Amino acid sequence: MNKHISLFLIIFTFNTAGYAQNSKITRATEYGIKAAFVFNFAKFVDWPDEAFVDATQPIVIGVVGRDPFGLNLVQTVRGKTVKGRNLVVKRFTRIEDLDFCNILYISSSEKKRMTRIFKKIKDSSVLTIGETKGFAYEGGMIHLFNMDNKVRFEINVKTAERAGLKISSRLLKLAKIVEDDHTNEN
Amino acid sequence: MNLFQSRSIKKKLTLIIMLISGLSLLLACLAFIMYDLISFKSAMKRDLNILAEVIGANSTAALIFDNAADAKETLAALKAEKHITSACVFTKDGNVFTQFIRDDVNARLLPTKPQPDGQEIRKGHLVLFREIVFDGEAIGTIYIQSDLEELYSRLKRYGVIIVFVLFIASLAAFLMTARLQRIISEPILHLAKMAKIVSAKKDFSVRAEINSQDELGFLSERFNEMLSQIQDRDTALQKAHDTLENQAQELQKELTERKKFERALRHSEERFRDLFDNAPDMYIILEPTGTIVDFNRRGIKELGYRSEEILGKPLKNIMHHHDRTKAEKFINQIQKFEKPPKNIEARLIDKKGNVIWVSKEFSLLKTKKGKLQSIRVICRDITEHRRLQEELKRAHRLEAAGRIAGQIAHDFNNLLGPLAAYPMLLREELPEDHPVLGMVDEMESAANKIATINQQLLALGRRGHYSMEPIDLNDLVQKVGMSLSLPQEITLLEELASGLLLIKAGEAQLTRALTNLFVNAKDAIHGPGKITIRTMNVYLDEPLRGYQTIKRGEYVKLEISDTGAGIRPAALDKIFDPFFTTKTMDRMRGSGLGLSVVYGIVEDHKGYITVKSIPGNGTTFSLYFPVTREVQREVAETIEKIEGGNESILIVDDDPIQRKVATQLLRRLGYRIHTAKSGEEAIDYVRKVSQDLLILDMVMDGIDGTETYRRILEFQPQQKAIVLSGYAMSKRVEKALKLGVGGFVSKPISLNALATVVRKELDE
Repeated sequence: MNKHISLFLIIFTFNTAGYAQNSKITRATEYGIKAAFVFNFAKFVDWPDEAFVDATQPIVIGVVGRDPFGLNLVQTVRGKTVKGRNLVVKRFTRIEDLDFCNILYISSSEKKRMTRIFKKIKDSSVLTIGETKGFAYEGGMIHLFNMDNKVRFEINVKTAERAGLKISSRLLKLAKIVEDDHTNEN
Repeated sequence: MNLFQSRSIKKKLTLIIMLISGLSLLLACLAFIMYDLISFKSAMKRDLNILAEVIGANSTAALIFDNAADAKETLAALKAEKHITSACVFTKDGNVFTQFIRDDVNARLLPTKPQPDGQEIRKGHLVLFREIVFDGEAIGTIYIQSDLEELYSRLKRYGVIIVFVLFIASLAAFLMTARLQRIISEPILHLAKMAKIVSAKKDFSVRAEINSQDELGFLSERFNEMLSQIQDRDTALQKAHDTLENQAQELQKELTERKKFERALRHSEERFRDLFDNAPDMYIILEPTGTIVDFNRRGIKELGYRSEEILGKPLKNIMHHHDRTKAEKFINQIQKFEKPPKNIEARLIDKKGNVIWVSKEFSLLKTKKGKLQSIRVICRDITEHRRLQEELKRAHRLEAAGRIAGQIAHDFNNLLGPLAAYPMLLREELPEDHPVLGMVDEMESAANKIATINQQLLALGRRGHYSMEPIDLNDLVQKVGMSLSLPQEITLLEELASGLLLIKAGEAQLTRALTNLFVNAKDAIHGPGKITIRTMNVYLDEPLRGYQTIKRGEYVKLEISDTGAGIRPAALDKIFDPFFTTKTMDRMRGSGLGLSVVYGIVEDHKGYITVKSIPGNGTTFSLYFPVTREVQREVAETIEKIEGGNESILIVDDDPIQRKVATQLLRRLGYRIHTAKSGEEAIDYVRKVSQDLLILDMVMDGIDGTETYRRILEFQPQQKAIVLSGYAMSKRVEKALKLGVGGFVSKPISLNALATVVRKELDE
């Protein structure tokens, strides 16, 4: 965890993610940025037509496991639209509860249950995001990590393509691309 | 513009056409270039916009996910675009996200803050700001700066093209114009040439050629018409001109003559004005009512008025108040009878208030119809004339009185001899207790008084014939003062200046003058009073009262003031006249001679006398005597004691009484006395018996004393002599003194005087 967040990031966070009036500022700030990332990924990803019933159906962002965002994620998406759709945040504490969603943030608390989760959503077009080390190598699509005081991400394009998701080349340009996909066989 | 106007019409036409063609070509070129530049610029802008859009789109992800490195890479692609000098991406909150700067560009020129969307030329660069929008949301701003090198090089190219095109076009236009302008210029030049011929040669017979049917042809036609009209008129005009010229010449001649006449008139007027102003008399012109219309300059100057104080005022304003009624009466008479009155003498008053006597001569100026127009008055100043007349009168009066007095006194004097001398002899012959002695005393006293009056009379009659010696007036005043007998209640105050200068004077005369003044002062005081006598040195440089002129210089002033009754102003003018007296009381009746004598003596001394008197307050006489620088002669002590002797003396006198008196006086002193009745007898006697001393009467029948002495001196050169004379001092006495006569005794003979002089002469 980096406790020295630059001024630049603080301003960025405040404006993008709204307020984070938490006593744990650094953590809240970091997760403010990550919440914004999660929201923004939605803009660069195209879901297949069948993923939505109609044009007004909201994009559902699911969080499984222990939620590190607090209020950040909810506040980030409040009142916003992506491609004309509203955004909704759902929390799933247990895998059993896992329900329909378009984006799924898999908390690090679910490290051991990741394979089960991936299996469960295998047939639906869900953009998976996680922070567990090797997330993109082990069946996840976007892995968020900290580097040089900044939040960076790597993307496993193949995994995404298999799920029928098209990720914008502009996003890919910023990401570290993960080619290896052997874990997918599990 | 002037330069242009002075060109010939040919050049003007060429120039105009060239100018117009050049200008329109230039404008066309410029419009074309403008259009090109504008479209080029908008193309540039469009390109830049597209570039910004592309870069912006490529930077969205980097911006959103805060990947500056990626954004920098995107911007780096601009390197290929040569005209882009710098570019910059700002974040949504206005901070620099990333930037691109070409190597040779100054980084500081880059903006630090984003600006609203737009393009503009700034400092020779085209700059652009454009918001980066993603999914309907502004996420940042891109800034691109492009140089205008391409634009400039384009401009340069166009410049060269324009110059070239203009040059070619102008050349073509010039060549064409040179030929074509003749169509217009030639007829005009022809017309101009005709006009020049007309104006230069005054030849109205020439006509312009007509080559075209346009406006120029019309103009030439009218020109020809005009010429023929002018030709007609010119002939008529010339005729009129000739007539007029003749008239003008005549007029000019008349004018010259008139001017000459006017000049002569003015000159004459000036001359008359000058004559009027500088006439020796005052010249006044009056209206018939007596108002002054004109006054010559001399008159104004003489009276001292300013002209505005006189002109327009009645004549009586400048007249003495005594004469005003007279003047008014005269004016009235003139108005009534329209005849000039006789000349009058009247007094004018000048500005200072002085009285000026004038004789006025009136003459009348009448209109042709005989109506009185104005009165001319010539005033001649006769003030001086009158004064001289007055003085002359007075001098005559004094002279006449003096002459009469002198004659009477002379006869009187001879008769007075025994009266004065015998009382003394009588007293000697009579015993001391003889009762007649009292009468003898009174006789003697009366005789002395008569002698004194007689002396005054004689003094009037023999003015100016006495010897003058330098004397100190102070001594004289003291001497006279001591001899005075003043009553107790009158105080005598002497204020004598120390260091008083000497005057040249006859001591006896001055003593008499002083005494007379003292006596007058004393007589003026009734009861207690004071007489003050003062002497002082003064310098006179302005006339004294009563004198027109005085000789300026040093004078000794003698002042005698009394606190007596004073003299009435009316009497003041006459006090120096002989026989004028105010002392009418019987007891101290005056002879009226005292002040006349003083006046005469002062005048003989070339001095001046003035009197000032306030009735009731007293009178002051001031006498001024010119100072002399001669040294005072040491006066020998007069021998008080009467000394006699036994020398032989011959008394020569034609008057037996005088002979007898003198003989008796001198015999008593022990002298041996002989007598002679005439000068001739005396000469014969002296030839026979020589004498120690001769006593000669000055005035005798036959040869007089002086002549007698002169003849005796011829054979007796050492002969001593003294003279007797009724006159104190006369020319004859002077002559005798010059011959060597040792002394002089005035008649009536007093023993003292005679004895002293005789002894002195014998002892010499």
